[in-house]
Amino acid sequence: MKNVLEVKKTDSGVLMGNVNAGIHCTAMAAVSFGLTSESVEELSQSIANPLLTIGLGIGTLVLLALALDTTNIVRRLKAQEERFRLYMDNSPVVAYLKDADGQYVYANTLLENLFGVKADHRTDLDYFPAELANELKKKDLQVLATGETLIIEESLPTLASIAQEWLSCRFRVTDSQGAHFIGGVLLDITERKRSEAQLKECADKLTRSNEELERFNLSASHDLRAPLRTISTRMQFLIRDLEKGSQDVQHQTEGITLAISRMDRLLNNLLAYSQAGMQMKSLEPTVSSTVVQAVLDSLQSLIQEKQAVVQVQKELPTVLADPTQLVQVFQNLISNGINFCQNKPKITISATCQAQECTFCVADNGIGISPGSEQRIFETFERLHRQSEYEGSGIGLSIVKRVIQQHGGRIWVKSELGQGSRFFFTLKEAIDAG
Amino acid sequence: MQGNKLGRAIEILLVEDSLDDAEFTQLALGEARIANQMHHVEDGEAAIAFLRNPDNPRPDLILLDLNMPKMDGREVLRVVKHDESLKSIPVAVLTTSDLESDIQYTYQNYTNCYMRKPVAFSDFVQILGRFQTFWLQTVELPSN
Repeated sequence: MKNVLEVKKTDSGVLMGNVNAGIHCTAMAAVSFGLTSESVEELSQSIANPLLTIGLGIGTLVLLALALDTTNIVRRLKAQEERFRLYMDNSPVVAYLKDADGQYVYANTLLENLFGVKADHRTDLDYFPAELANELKKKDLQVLATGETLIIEESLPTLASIAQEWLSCRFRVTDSQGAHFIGGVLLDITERKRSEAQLKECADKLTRSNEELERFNLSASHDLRAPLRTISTRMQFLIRDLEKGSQDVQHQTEGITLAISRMDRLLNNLLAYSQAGMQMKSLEPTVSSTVVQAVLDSLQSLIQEKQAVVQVQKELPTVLADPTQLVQVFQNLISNGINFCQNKPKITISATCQAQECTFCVADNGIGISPGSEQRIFETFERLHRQSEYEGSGIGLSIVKRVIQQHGGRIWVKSELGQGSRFFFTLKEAIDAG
Repeated sequence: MQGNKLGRAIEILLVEDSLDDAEFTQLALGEARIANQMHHVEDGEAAIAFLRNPDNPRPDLILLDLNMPKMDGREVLRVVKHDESLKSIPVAVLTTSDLESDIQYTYQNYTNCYMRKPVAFSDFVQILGRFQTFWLQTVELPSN
């Protein structure tokens, strides 16, 4: 710096003083631009020529302005970079940039937090299972090749290894050198997908229930019409017989009485069926032993008439149920077992619980179910037997199935023709809250 | 009783699960003066067993209900009309069902006619009368 100041000694007076200031500044600027003191000295020597000195003075001013401007640009760029970083790192979307080889060159904070992906020039193979990584690469290559933005739903496991659903958007980015990159953003749509699935499940359930209702209406009208036709026809016979003065009207009146009682039973069962489908009261801890005992009491006359033997496991579990509906279940299964039997009926009721689910079994030694009919017996108005063999409305087991389904349980049957049947159903175990 | 082209009482297989309806059908055929030998079975399985038993007479006509336990009438129709030895027997569906799908299905499976059981007995007699006029007095049936 001293060398520079010595240059002051010239003859050029006031002008030179100003120029000197310029040289001084030039030197300062030169140093600040990284010139060595030697080169600055050389520069100083050559300033002996006053004209050159003036020129250099102007150049120095330009350089100074440039230097000041560069600082501003750096500051502005820094601010811009910070704004961009804050924007990307606070964004609820995952954002990344991969080069044409699939190496990550940019990853926002969310991408790093969720998937551990950093802008470290590693590829998806380092972060995801090979199969998934290859799939991602295939899509990347597609976007690189076509340049078309790809918006799809993707399932990507996060570090917490919870598979999540993402709305993924890939696009091609080309820099000024003509190099292609894959830009991408991911938006978490797990919640949305979950509610979509729930909605679909609801819609499916509605469709099934509508179909069931349609079948039910058809069968109900058919089965309700049958006794009406009988009554109507027998009435015509009765009137004719009476007009003829016939004394033997008993056959017709008996037929009418029978049809009326059949219709009455049908209507009662229909009522029970529709109640089984209604929204239940909240499920309460229900001691199933008590329910079974109440059912056996109500079936006492049938049990005595058929000389049935009913064995009940000593302690049946306490389950979450609507007690009045659970009565329907046992009543139908036990009375079926007794009625659809050619010998002395023997019914066994048992239950086992595992993982808070109780499986009940109502076994009989009755006529059994022919193979292939195991599903049909639970349909409304499905009867497997002739009217002359076994009476029944064809609704009992549909009631049972409906109640169990409303309780969130399952029901099935294992049977062989002539070997009796075992009806199984599940209910949630009531866990003692203490 | 009116005669028929066969010159003998016609053999009718009635496949009907309702005992009441079976009784009424027999009465109606009697009132319609159809000389017939009625064989009544209560479900589809029994119907097929009857038809395949060589000891039984081959029916001239089958009166078939649709909604029955065990094998239903639709299945019986399908079996009969796909059996070389049985398919020439005319099958008349006689049912309470007025479902278009049942009508479609049974004609697709070669039923010879489809009749709906009327509620009033007098109508039932009338329908079976027309039925016999056509099938027993008008058309030629294959001899057994």
